[in-house]
Amino acid sequence: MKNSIEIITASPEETIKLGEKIGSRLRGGDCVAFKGGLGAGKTTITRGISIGMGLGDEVTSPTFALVNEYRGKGTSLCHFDMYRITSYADLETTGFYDYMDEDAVLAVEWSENIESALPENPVVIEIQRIDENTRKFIIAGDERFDDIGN
Amino acid sequence: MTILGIDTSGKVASCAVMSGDKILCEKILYTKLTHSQVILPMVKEVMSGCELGWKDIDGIAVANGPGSYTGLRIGIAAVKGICMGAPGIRCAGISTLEALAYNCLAFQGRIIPVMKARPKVVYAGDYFSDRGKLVRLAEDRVAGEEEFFAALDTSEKIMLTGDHCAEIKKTYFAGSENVILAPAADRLQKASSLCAAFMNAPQYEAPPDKLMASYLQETKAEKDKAHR
Repeated sequence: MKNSIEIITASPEETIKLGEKIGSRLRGGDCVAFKGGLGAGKTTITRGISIGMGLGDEVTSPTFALVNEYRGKGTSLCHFDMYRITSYADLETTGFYDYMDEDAVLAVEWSENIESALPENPVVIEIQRIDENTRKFIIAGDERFDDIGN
Repeated sequence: MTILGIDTSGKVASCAVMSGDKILCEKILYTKLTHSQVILPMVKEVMSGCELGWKDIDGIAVANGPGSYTGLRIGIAAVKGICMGAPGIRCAGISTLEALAYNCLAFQGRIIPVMKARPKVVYAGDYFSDRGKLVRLAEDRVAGEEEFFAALDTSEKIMLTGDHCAEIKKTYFAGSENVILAPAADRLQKASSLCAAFMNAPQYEAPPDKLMASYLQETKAEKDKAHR
C-alpha cells in the first residue's frame, strides 16, 4: 500500500533529521528513489539517511563517482547519481545491478533517468524547493513511513 | 597439466589449482568485499598452499561471464596481468554458466544453470551431462525469467543450479518432481569447475589480449526500456 506523506523542512538541519527518521526505517533490499533538481537537497537528506542507518555523516555528492558506498557492520548504503546515465549500457557499468542485494539500501538521485530499471516498490522521495532553506518532501512508501511526520 | 582457476563473476570469489583430475587446493569466499581486494591474495594463498610457483602453472581458466559487471573485469584483468608477466602460461575464458554446469557433472541429464541478472531477468544456460561429458544444448542467454522458464520442457529430469535456482524452483516448479535442485554446495561458482572445463575443452584457449568479458547480448527492447 503506497501512501504519500508531505513534510516541510525549514533548514538543512531539519532535512538531516528527517533523513535520520527515514534511514532508521529502511532495511536491506530497499531502494530510495529521489526526484528533484539541482540543489534540491538530495545529498543532504541522504546524509541523514546514512546517520539513521548508523553509517555516519560522511556523505558527499556522488556526482563525479556515480556511486558512493557506505559500509557498516550490517546493511550498507549505496548512493547513486544517475544524472549522466543515459542508456541501459551506462547503467550496467555503474554496477547498479551488482549492488542490488538483500544487504544493501540503494539511494538513487535522478531516479527519473532509470525509472523502468528501478526495483519493485521503491520508496519515492520527491523534493520541491520552496525557497533558499525551505523544502517540501513528498514521501511515497509503505506503512513504515506512515508516522514519519510525527 | 596444472591449471589455476579464477572466478570473480558473482557473490563468491573462488580460486583453485587442479593437476589432472586432482584438486590440489580450492578456496571459495562468500564476501561483501570487492573482488579486487580479495582475489589476488587468494591466488597467492592457494598457490603457496600447494607449494607451486608460476613456472609450475600450465594454464589459467577465468570465468568470462555472464555475471557481475565489475567482478568479471576484475578477474579477467588479473589474468591478463599474470599472463603478461608469465608469457609461458596459457589462458582461457570459460562461460560462468558452463562452469556451473560442471559443478553438477555427476547428474545424468539436462542441467540449467541460472543466475539472477536483475529483477525478473536471468542469465540461463542449457547443458546436458552424459556420463561425465558435458554438452552445450543452446547458447547462454539473457532472458526474461518468466518467458524462459514457462517455456521449459520438463517432461525429462532437469537439474537447476546457480545463485537463482532455489527461487526459480519455488516460483515455477514447486510441484514438479522432474525439476531437481543442485545440492547447496554445488550452486555457486567454484574455480575447480573452470579448471575442469579448460582441461576438457582445450579449444577455449585464447591469447591473453583477446580475453573479454561476455555480458551476453541485450535485446533492443531491453536497451530501450532503461531509457524510456
